[in-house]
Amino acid sequence: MNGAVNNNAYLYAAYIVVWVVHLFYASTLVIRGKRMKRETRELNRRSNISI
Amino acid sequence: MNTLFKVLAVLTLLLLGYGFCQAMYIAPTEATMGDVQRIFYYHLPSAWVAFLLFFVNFLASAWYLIRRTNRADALALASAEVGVSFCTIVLLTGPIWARPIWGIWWTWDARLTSTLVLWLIYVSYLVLRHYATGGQVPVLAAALGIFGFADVPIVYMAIRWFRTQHPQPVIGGGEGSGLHPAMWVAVLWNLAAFAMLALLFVWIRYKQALAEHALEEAHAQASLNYETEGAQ
Repeated sequence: MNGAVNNNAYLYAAYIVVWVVHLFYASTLVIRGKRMKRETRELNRRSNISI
Repeated sequence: MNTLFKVLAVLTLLLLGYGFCQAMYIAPTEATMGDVQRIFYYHLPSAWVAFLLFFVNFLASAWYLIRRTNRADALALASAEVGVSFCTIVLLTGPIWARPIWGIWWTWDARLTSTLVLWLIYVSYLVLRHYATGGQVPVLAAALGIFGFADVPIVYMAIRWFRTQHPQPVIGGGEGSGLHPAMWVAVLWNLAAFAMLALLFVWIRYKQALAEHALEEAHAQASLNYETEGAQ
């Protein structure tokens, strides 16, 4: 990488932003999945309805 | 999680790793912009994946209006949510690339503005899905998904129809446009990697949306049982 113009800070910032957004979204999926498992367990416990 | 998902997840990680190497080290350095042009290898594939996901949302929304199935509704929601995530990346990486090249973070030209409108349309879709209550919410969301998709061709054609600050298209842009073949290789590897990542995200979110439907029905059934037992 030997650029004509040295703006590497912007390049690194952009790549970091991409992975922050993807990791943030992945973490929302994990959190939602855990919450749903907890809700399902709770519902099963309360009403003996199996889903 | 089944075996196919695990295989796809490993394949996606490998693709993302190789795509990163292609973008950062293998693709040639652009003559005038220098290394900062390598943002392009994440910016463009993210935009194409977002367009593809909004198209899936459009099809699933139409399918839902015709058949009213939970599967169509779940697919529409999953594709819109992941599409917004990729569109957010486009809207963040664009200004970071623009600042050193144009000297400004943002300008209200047709391509940038229509992309921002596209993002706002699908964020509205998600807000509607999250906060509105009642049985007609999926129908309203499907209608928004169908009409909202009209902005995608406008975003795509904006740099062809209007004079914009945004660079000219790399496909079908006429004389003087296009990419070096080695740059195309980096674009296509990253496109494959992001498309796979999007597929995995949509897969997980689709399953979750179906489970949410099942949970809602189970909650309703539990309430009904409780009321029936109370009345006896």
